[in-house]
Amino acid sequence: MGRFSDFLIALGFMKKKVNILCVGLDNSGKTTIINSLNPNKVDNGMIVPTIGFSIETFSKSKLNLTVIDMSGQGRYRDLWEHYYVDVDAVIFVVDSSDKIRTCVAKDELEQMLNHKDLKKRKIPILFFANKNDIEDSMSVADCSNALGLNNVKTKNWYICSCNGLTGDGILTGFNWLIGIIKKILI
Amino acid sequence: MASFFKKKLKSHNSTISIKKTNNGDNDNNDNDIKISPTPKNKIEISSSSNNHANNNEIQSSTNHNKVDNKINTQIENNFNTNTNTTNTTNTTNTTNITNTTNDNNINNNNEDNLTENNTSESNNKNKTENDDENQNIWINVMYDPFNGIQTISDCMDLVDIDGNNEHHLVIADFGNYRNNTNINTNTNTNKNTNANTNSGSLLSLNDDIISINKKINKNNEIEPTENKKNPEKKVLKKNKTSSILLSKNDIVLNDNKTGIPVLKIFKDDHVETRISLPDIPRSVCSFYPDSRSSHPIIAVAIGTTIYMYRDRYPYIKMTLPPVEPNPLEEEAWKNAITNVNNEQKMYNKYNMDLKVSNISDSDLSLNEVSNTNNSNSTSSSRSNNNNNNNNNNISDISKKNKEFHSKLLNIVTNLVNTLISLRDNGVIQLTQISIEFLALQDLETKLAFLVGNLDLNIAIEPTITTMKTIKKNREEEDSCSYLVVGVNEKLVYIVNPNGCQVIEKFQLSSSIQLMSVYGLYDVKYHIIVGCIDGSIYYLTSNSCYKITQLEYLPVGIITFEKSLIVGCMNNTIYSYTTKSKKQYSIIMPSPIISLQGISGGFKKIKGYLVSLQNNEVRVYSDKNLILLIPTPDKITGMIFGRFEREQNSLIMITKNGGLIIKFLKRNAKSTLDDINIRPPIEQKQQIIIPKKTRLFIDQTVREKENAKEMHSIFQRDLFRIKLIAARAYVKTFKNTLNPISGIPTAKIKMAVEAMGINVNFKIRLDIMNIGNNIARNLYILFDYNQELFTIEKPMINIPIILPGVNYTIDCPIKQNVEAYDKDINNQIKVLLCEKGYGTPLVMGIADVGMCQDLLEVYG
Repeated sequence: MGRFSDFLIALGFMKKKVNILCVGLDNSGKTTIINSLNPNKVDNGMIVPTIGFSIETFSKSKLNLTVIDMSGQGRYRDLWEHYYVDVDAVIFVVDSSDKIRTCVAKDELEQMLNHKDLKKRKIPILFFANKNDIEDSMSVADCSNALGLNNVKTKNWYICSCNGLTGDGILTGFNWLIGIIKKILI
Repeated sequence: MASFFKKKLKSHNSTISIKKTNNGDNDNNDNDIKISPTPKNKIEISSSSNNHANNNEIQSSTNHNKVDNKINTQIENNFNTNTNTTNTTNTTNTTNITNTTNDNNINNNNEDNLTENNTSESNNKNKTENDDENQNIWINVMYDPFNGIQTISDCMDLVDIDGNNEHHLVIADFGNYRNNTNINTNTNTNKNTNANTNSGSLLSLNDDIISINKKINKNNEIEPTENKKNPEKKVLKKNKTSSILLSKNDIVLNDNKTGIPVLKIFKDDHVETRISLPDIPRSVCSFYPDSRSSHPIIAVAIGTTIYMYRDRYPYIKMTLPPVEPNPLEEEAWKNAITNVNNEQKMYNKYNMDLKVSNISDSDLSLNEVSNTNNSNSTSSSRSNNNNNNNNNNISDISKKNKEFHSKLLNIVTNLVNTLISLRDNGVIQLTQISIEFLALQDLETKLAFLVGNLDLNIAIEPTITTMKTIKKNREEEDSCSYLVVGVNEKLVYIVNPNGCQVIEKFQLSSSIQLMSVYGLYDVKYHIIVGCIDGSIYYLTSNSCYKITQLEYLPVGIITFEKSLIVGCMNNTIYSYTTKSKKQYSIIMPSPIISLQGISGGFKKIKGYLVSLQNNEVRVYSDKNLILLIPTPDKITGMIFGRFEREQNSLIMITKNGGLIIKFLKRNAKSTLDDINIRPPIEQKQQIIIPKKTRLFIDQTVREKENAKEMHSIFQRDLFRIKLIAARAYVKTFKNTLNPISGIPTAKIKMAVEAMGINVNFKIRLDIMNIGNNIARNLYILFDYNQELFTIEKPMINIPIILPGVNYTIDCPIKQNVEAYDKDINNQIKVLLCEKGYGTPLVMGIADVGMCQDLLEVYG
């Protein structure tokens, strides 16, 4: 973008375009969370497993957000890394009720952080510990321990517990993300 | 304006960032939380190894239990090998997970030359060399060393129970089987109902429920009267209602830790459902009964029966049709039994005539027989009373008794003779009962057996030793399947579990021990069967032949499309084609515990897992070793496949009841997929080269690289040598040092030789004229240091030298005393000169050695 558009963005006449990548294991609730964020989407209660990826665009707090909702199934996880190049923020969704696969999530997270396109860049990562309504689900602290988030020192990150079905906690996390993006980009 | 905006934003952001750091602190505080596995059932494990006595008791029980015990002992063979591992309870809570972090490395040995030393060396090497490649293949999910599961690979399966694509782990746990005495009571109660059914039939599970109820309540009064009357077919609904009762009772049972075998259905890593089993299971399979149903059935083979569970509840119980005996054998038994009955009737009638009361029961008649047989045994009080009452008839009765007894003995001898003749003819195969009857010690015990089992039916239920599934016509996971059942009575059945019909039946020559199935029933299939005598059979729809006879007994069989893999007790894995041609063999470093095929994501790989006694699990693809997984304990059961939502997971059960779960990483799959395409990993390994060879190789490498420089250097040095040689040649000419004179008029050759090593010595001159002319007026001069040497004639005249004649001139020389200690030039120059010329013709130099040491010796 040129200097003029920067000026316009600063004045608030034009909205900055931001790419957000939403990743996580299958059945962790990525699509549900994004749908609850997207004001344009009508919730019909039926969400099928995403195949490949789907792109949602909506504007929020003076930002034009393009959210790339990746599929979490094993065979589609190879696609994730193709979007690392021009991404401004990452949302990582974890199913806090699926304890046995947190190590898989941890592995995927490590692979993502060590990828050459993301390693040097200082992009914010928002973790959603989804499905906190299910009894016997892990707390935020347990989740961050299981994912080894304390070792993530090069990135800005924030973890919050949420419930994709009711929308509890999603906005808290998302506002943090928006704030960070604004701070970095503008 | 713009700056104002920015400031505002910045202030907003700063508050958030503070919040974030707070959160981080919280996380740090919670860092130490660890999920440590809860030690369950530890007491059972430790006690289990001590109770062999109980086990022996089980083994020496009646006929019907014997078959079950066979399974017992088989399983025990798998487990019993290690007895030194009794777990201490409290200390080992935290020693998990860390053990298994570095355990993934690809072994790149030439398998055929494998020795234990080799493997350990190469492992270490590989660890250093291929670290980045191999360490990340597995994700260690959990290791719970005290899960208390005792099972084998056959009794594990991954089943999508709820039809929602989450595959749960199903394990038939043997429980604390070595300690368990009340399991076998169950088979006796089943015997009655089984005897009534002549073909494979649906039976309710009520008998088992009641028998288990008995165990719980210790109350024998509840008799299964209802079920005895109509055991044929029951409405399935009724089964379900009763089965709820069963599962409730089970929970009570397991809390009591009676060690009864249990079917455990896991959810994630914990047991969600427990269903107690009536006896030790042999095999667990899951299948879809028809193409419409979304919920699979879990089949558990126990003894003679297949129990099927659906939706975590008992569903159907199925027995295989009894093995029909040969009509000749059956007739012999029938005759004997009817004869005995007739005799008894006669005897009873006679006794009734004598008005002896209380003798109407066949039991008592047997009692009397035994009394008469063993005269010194304690006679029962009742018969004594009878005898006392009828004193005058005593002699008569005893006579009759003897008569009766001799008649019975006759019947038994007849039966024995016919059976022996049938056996010796070799035409028919006697049933197990007949064989064991013949093996009884003497006629009296045989008689006792016959009289005691007058309701004997020699058609016996086949005991299931192995069970697998075969898909009917589609390869999809949820397609309809049949059961393939191998039994102890040398038969293999293919059963449609839907209607409990036997579709196909194969008769083999030995008891079936192992089995592996490949293909679709409607399209093409084959069954590979390993028998207890080490023979391997190939069975298919229209042909059946023996592939091979192994020298050692097989422990596991896996079949692929055109080949099969057999693990044997001599630590070796053999591969045969289905056309019975041996392909290769792989020697393992230690005994094989079990073999398990890899299904699922790798269609290109003919993969299989081998667990060994030296605490490792090897993953082979065909004959290539792909992975080597060190495990903390011996692995008795393992399964690879889809677990929960994860596609490639490996679940292992250790000998001491530990549970290990590992997931294969996503990116590891591609490296494994092309394992057969790429060159074997052995190629990457460096060979250790000896020092000299290494030098040589280095040299050749250097020569290759710097050929041009080396050549030019060599050439330069060569020219230099030539130049030096030329210069030296020129110099000799200048100094006339050449032994041949250069003057054309007189060609004279002179050789100078110093002779002697002492103080007095001589110089011998050989002078020869090699020219054609006569040389005249020559003389010889000695040029020497006068301080050192004394020469009598320093000048010798030689008037004439004829051509071709050799003149020898000796000149005695004495060394002076002054010369002894001086280290100076001690050369003597000999000059041959011609009178009237300034330069000598020839010059010779004699080197005279200083003989200092010799002087010292001689004084």
